[in-house]
Amino acid sequence: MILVGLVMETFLSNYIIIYYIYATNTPWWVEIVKFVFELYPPFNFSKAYSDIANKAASHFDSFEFRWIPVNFYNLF
Amino acid sequence: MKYVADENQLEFNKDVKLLTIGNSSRFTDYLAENQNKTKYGVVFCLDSLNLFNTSIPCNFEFFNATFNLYTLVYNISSAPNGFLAGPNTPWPTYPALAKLKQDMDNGYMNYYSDLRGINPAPKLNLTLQSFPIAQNRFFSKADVVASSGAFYFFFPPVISFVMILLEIIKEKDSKLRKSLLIIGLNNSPFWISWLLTSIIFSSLISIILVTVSIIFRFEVFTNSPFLITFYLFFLFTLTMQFLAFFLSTILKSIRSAYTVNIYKINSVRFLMH
Repeated sequence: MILVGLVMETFLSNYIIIYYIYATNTPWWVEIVKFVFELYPPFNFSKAYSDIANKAASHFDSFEFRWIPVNFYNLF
Repeated sequence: MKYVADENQLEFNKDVKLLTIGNSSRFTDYLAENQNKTKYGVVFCLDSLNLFNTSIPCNFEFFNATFNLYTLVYNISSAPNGFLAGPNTPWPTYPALAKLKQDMDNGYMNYYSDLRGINPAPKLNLTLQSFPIAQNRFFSKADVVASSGAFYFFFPPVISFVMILLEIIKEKDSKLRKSLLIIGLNNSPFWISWLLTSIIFSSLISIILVTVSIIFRFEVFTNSPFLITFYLFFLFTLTMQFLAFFLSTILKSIRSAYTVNIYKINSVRFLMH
């Protein structure tokens, strides 16, 4: 169980993969994967942590290909 | 060139010597035939220079001034280079080559000062500084806590999960709950006591995690309200312990608990990596 969590955290600590899973235009099987993952707490933790981190700390923008500093105007 | 030899305490006609006279190809041919024997070369040009597939005019009569054009050639094998240097390290300078350039210019000024009777001859001083250190654009403002914090902050709740799971299974293995039934208690006090333990564990872990992170000035924690980060960890730790409650109904013996224990050791080892 822990090793499953470790592997999941290793893959999902990168928030971009989580946001791909939560994208709206995904194939049908991604919905099933998402449902299974949501039953396991570390997946939801990764998503919640990434949501907070993306807002509260500098994050990597894959379009601009650089780290974007915190935007304090839109923080709260 | 005698001036250069004297300035650098080298022997003229031995350390500093004439290699070729004629067109440019004779010099390149000499270098090809005597590889790794020439450290520096000074190529004087009177008409036009055709060196290494490059053609440079050297005669500027229309300027109505005296031009002395020379080219410095150096052995790139012995020159400092940026091979295996860090990505932010500035490109290395070559002080020896800069000194040769300075000596050449001073030699020219010395020669023309002698011709015109200027004494003492003017001299150029040289100050050399490194190339600018460019900031790495890719890693500027990088935040490891934000990018992979979910992975590292995953461990404290998981360790509490393993502890709770082991304790419950130990009690199950020693049939403690059945002994409670004997003294007239039903299942509820047993689970309520574990629930209270879990809530206390989760609160402690969350408070310690968030407080220490704020002390270390992690942006994720300093820029977000305490309650949000506290509830994030509190609810996650509590959920993991509820998962432990669920697993304790599946795992039947202390043997399986030992298996989980081995996984715990492995997970700690993984963290240390």
